[in-house]
Amino acid sequence: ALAESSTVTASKAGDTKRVRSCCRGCGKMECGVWVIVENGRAIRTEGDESAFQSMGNHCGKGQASLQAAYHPDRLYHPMKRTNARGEDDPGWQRITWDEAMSTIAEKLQETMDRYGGEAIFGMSGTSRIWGMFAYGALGQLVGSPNMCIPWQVCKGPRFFATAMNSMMQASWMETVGRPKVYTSWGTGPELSNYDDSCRTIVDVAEKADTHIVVDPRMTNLGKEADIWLNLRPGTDGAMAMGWLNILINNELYDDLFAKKWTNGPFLVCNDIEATGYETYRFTSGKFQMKTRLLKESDLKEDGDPHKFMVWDNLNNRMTYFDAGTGLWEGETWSKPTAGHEGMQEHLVPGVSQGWVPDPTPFDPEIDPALYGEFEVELKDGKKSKVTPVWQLFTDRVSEYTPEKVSEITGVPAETIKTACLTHARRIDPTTGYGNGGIQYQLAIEHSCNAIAMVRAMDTYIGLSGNWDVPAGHRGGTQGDFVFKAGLGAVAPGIPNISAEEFNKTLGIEDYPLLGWWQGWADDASVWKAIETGDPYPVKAGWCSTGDFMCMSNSLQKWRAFPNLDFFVCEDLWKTPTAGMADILLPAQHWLETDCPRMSQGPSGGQGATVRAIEPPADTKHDIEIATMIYQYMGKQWGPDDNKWPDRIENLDIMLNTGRAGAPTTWEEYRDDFEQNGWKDCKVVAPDTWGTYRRYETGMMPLKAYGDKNALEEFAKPGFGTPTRKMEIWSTLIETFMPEDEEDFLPTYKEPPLSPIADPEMNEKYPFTATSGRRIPVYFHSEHRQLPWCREMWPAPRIEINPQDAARLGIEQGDWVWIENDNGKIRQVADLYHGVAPGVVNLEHQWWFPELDQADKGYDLCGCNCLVTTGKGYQDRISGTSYLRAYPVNIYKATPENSPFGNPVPCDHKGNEIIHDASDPRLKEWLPNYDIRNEA
Amino acid sequence: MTHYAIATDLNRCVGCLACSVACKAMNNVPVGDYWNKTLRIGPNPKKDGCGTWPDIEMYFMTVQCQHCKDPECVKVCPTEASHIAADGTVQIDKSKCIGCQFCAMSCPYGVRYLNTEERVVEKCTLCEQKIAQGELPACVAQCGGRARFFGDLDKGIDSFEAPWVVDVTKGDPSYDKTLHNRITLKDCVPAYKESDVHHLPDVGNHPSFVYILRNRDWQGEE
Amino acid sequence: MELQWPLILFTTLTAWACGVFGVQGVLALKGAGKKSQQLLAVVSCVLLAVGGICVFFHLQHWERIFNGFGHITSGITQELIAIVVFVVAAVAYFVMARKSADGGTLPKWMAVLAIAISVVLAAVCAHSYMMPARPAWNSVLEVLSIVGAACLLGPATVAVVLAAKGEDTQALGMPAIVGSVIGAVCTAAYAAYVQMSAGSFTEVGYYFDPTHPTKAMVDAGAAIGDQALLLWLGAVVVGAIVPLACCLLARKKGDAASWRLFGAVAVVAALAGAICLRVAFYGAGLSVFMFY
Ligand SMILES: Nc1nc2c(c(=O)[nH]1)N[C@H]1C(S)=C(S)[C@@H](COP(=O)(O)OP(=O)(O)OC[C@H]3O[C@@H](n4cnc5c(=O)[nH]c(N)nc54)[C@H](O)[C@@H]3O)O[C@H]1N2
Ligand SMILES: Nc1nc2c(c(=O)[nH]1)N[C@H]1C(S)=C(S)[C@@H](COP(=O)(O)OP(=O)(O)OC[C@H]3O[C@@H](n4cnc5c(=O)[nH]c(N)nc54)[C@H](O)[C@@H]3O)O[C@H]1N2
Ligand code: SF4
Ligand code: SF4
Ligand code: SF4
Ligand code: SF4
Ligand code: SF4
Ligand SMILES: [Mo]
Repeated sequence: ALAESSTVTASKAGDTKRVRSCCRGCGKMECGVWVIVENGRAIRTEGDESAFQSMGNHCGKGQASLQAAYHPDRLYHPMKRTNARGEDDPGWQRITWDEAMSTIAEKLQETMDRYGGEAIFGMSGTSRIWGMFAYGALGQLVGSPNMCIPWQVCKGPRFFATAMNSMMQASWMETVGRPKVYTSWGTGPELSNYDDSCRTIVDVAEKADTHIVVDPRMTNLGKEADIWLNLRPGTDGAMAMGWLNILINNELYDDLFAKKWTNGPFLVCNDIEATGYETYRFTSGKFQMKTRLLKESDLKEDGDPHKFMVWDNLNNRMTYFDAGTGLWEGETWSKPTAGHEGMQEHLVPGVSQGWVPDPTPFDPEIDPALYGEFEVELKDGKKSKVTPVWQLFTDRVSEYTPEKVSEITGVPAETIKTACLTHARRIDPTTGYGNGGIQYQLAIEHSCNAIAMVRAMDTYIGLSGNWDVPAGHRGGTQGDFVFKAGLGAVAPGIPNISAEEFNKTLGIEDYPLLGWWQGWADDASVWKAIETGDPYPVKAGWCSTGDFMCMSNSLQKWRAFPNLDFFVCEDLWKTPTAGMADILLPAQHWLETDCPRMSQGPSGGQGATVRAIEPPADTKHDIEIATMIYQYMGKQWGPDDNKWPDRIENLDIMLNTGRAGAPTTWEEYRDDFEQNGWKDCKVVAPDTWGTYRRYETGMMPLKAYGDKNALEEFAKPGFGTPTRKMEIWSTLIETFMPEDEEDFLPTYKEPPLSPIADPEMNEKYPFTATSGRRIPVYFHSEHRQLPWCREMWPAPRIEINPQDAARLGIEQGDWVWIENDNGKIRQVADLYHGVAPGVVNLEHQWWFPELDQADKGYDLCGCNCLVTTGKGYQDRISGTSYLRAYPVNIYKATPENSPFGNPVPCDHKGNEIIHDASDPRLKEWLPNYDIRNEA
Repeated sequence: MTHYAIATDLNRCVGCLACSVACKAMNNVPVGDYWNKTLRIGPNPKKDGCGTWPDIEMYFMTVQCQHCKDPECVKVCPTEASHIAADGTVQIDKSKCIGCQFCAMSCPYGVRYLNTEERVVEKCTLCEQKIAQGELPACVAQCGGRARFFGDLDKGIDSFEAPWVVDVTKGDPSYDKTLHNRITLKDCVPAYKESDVHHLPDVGNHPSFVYILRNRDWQGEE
Repeated sequence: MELQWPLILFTTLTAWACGVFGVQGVLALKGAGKKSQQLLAVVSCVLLAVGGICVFFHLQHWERIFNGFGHITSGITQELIAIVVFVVAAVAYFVMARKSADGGTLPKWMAVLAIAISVVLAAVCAHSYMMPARPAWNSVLEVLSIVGAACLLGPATVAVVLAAKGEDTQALGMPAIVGSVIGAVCTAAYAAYVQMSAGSFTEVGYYFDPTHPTKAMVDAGAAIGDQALLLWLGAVVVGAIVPLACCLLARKKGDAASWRLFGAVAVVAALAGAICLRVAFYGAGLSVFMFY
């Protein structure tokens, strides 16, 4: 029962209590909700209509997630394995926290002593805010960079690419700012609530003048689109290049932005050595940047390498931009004061307009040349021809005519033109900014061209006048404290691991920029190391909120698992991943959790998840577990004066990190939230969030300054890149991958197994498989055991065009085999005219909690059993897994071609999975209120 | 007279299933049974298209008891367990129900079923416990697309209501305030024509629920 | 929809009871079958009673029947009334027969009443299913098909009883043939109607119900088409043509032994046919909007 002493100032009616909270039924949105608690029991959750950032949204899985808190199969105690790894029955035995923690501490220490900290790897899933141990803190504990996190396949590539191009997270568009043209590109937020709520998206799409969708499938919201670019899966990069082409050819781009804020006018010189200066890696340490962009130091012996030369058409001479000071030659800068309020229509009550500074002109007046070729005399006296980046860029872009893009993508050239022109032509020029951003999201990351595509897109956004303007791209919400990507992710009192340690990152050979980014290890490389011991052994692992089925190939990983000496899983369930663990640690449910919350995306809300019910039995909050293992290993977690803070002290630390204004406590913060609801970050953080065009004001917050406070360090106009410009020419790719010249500029490459790139493979496997399209009642592998979810969507579905189905004798509801060289799975046919003939859409991360065996049938249906890995089959820069747009074959499952003579997938003994809502096993999963009390 | 009903704007409905789950969460509907299902209609080839992808169209449609004006389910009920309540809704007095299921057979939409535990027939009640308190039905309150609106048919569907965002900057956004803040269908959704208004196929029962579907073929008779 | 066995049996048994009682009324009019009248009245009541027991397996809370069971627009209420009238009539019939000098003579009005209540009960029972929601059911032909079943089952059953009792079966010949013909025509007419109803269902083209991923899309045409064998071979050929042929044969031979044999075959065939008809009835009993 909710302790009577609780100071939660929720409204009460009888013995019913309503707790204002923030849902965490998924990791994507921060939907404001009410938790209705009766006699200490949460009986229902409802959307909070005063949560402007989510508009009162509370999706199906969010409402159903309460069933997890009372689930009979939930983990209530720490457990240890008593049978060998690989056996169907792990022989789980209940143990105490002390035994669990002592064993873990001992095993981790043993591994570190014997092989080094890098032999310990971590896994954490996406955005379970307080349980993201492997996003940093585990590495800090053991000194390992080897963290396998789906960030690598989920907005990480967009963050990585935008961090290189302009500002980390610039991929995020402020949808709540209400674009005039709503463009949804490779995303379906009406089902995914990614990182805007369904309610917001539906309203935005409807109120926009035009609604454009770029998707190979007809989507749930896309059925309403005015323009549908129904491209071939995996060809988004070509489409983005095509949009740049149309934008530039129609002279719709922002000329001042191109000249002043991109490195378009910088001059490429092929006759110099690549040189540069020392600058910051993203997380830890520095590196020597090396570029063939012309610098003063290339012209003069004592020239400054920070001074990038440009040709001034106005005065017919060379001038420069100084990346050290962030200023042009002769420029004096002060924070601009001219500007106006945002001019957005349809803002929801509670969302404010914010302030938009006017674009500042060059001062002193210059006109950097974008086109042409210029002759310079290098410091050794040699003459050299130099070309503005922009010239090379537009040469590249000019190849991507609408006709060529049409050929690649399969979308009529006219439709492409109409779409781009509709987006790019300003509907209301008086605003001084564009029609709104492009909500380009997950899909573009999964076909091995992610970084290049995002660089093209971010550049398009900048040039089309939609970068950090209302309804444009402005990154993650900044509030009045620093959220630090969530508690549990970073030990707040100690520094991150060093650049040297990061340089041991597995996969860095194949993907050298991982050494700059330091955000993740390459998942496939870590698992290869587990399997083969090459380049060095990986022997122990900790999984917190994570899962092995999310990327790379699930079958390969399952086979490699037994090579580990030791593996811990921290979760709420006995998942397939848990099935390979030696120790299970029971985590708490969001209803049992306290934590400040801030919109991850740009929807601008600041609030909290508030404990509404007492946690059951032996469960612990992830943050407590993290602190606890630090203590068991004798490592400091918090600041010097409180090395191992308790749960609430941890929240206090979080709230006061980088805080603007007077210190606060969790209790004060929570009570204010209960009483007054969500805060608009534009109001509480006027400089970092309430102001647009922050490259003008020196408030670009997400600069790559590692542990330092970015704003203090930066405080200059410009972007967070090595040249402080939007880097159309990437000095980072040039430095770290000098042989990959094509990628210095935005480009497009076919998915490695596309029908064009590998016709042979496609002859063998004639269907192009894609995946995604979120299941509204699941969050990836989560919620499959919740009755309200499973009965809404009992079995995995493959979408097939009815023409293909007819040809193959497949009918709606038939089980279908899907196979390629990597493996085969089964899903149920959904005859869907919304995919092109020859394309199928698959579902990922299916497992079956109803099966009584360690692997829980992860290999029966999940499409990531079909994923190809290895260099050449991942994104060439970020290593991102190849999860979409690859070839498969499909055919009907029959008694003859199915194990146990049963087309329905079965466990090792022949018991069917649940595939029908009338299955009595579903009822066994209804809440059990008694288990909680016994501990 | 009052005749409560729900109007759904199918152009706003995105098949998110939030309403289906909301009903479960509110009404203790047995696992495997549904008072509110979300069907996908199509994608079907457009009439004037090339006959297949990409010339296709689709919509989602939530189906529940339509609280008919002339419900056969009430006529066939031997015990008057099924009856039309004062607010125009069709309700089942479970204590009178003998479980003969003739009402289930007589419903054109199959929305009734036998609750095998209580051995009586059930269906959507239009959240009578909530609407009696002036609240919105759960599936309306939690609708993902804000596509559903509740109101009195006699007052016209333009007056139907959905929940609406409470302005936090105006202070004290209490639960009660959030519970009663509304937007009308007219203010929320784009204009629609008379011909955009549809009902489920009527075989004399006169279904009350309203579906708005613009610029698309309504599949099936009215 | 799913087969409702209690209702299938109830309807069939009721038709049977009605057939028996009606035919004995016909005999009474002709002054025939006197030795069997009492027994037949008992038989029809027993058939009805067994049918009634079957129905209790369908009703989930029959105890609540007494709480208020009088909603007159309800088919069930109407059935109940008809059953009560039927039983009262049958008991009166039995008592009158017993009280008559030869134990088997009945007044004309009683005979007519027996015929009338039999037709009414069969019709009322069948009428309960006439609902606009289920196109395959919504026809007077459905009512006639049950009356027809009574016409098939009644004469043959009575013939067997008469033959067993060693009575003259002469008087039965014509009614049996007429009954069989009526039955065959009604059954065939309804079978044809069911097939035609395939066009009355709502069509939405492709659709998906997420809660039933492994179910095929319903196809009313196919669902109805699937009933063809049951309807034409089961209900019409086995259930009507065979009994008709038996009656013709038995009448031709004319002796009790033939009636005993062919009558019995006719009863069994008609019963099988009636059950086929009811099974097909549920098989075709989709609602207009069949996607839930
Ligand atoms: N083919 C294909 N594959 C994909 C994708 C795709 O589109 N197609 N999408 C990819 C994307 S975008 C992502 S982000 C990944 C997601 O991959 P993951 O984030 O790894 O997702 P889950 O499988 O849900 O694993 C999360 C685990 O955390 C547990 N958990 C939930 N809450 C808590 C908590 O509070 N504490 C603890 N300790 N545990 C908790 C859950 O029970 C679950 O077992 O999948 C990727 N995989
Ligand atoms: N209910 C639910 N919500 C979720 C999740 C969940 O598992 N369940 N997962 C969450 C997570 S971690 C994430 S990352 C987000 C992702 O959410 P979204 O960004 O919305 O991404 P998806 O739903 O995976 O895919 C969106 C669309 O990509 C299309 N698509 C497939 N291949 C291609 C392609 O090659 N090009 C283009 N342009 N489109 C393609 C699909 O047809 C689909 O309509 O969802 C989050 N929200
Ligand atoms: S989108 Fe996520 S946060 Fe919002 S209600 Fe759904 S599960 Fe909860
Ligand atoms: S929809 Fe069906 S159950 Fe509801 S009132 Fe109409 S006929 Fe009755
Ligand atoms: S099942 Fe109950 S509500 Fe339905 S008709 Fe029979 S008595 Fe009436
Ligand atoms: S009105 Fe209430 S009972 Fe009816 S479907 Fe909606 S939530 Fe369920
Ligand atoms: S909740 Fe609303 S938008 Fe979602 S399926 Fe139901 S009616 Fe449609
Ligand atoms: Mo993700």
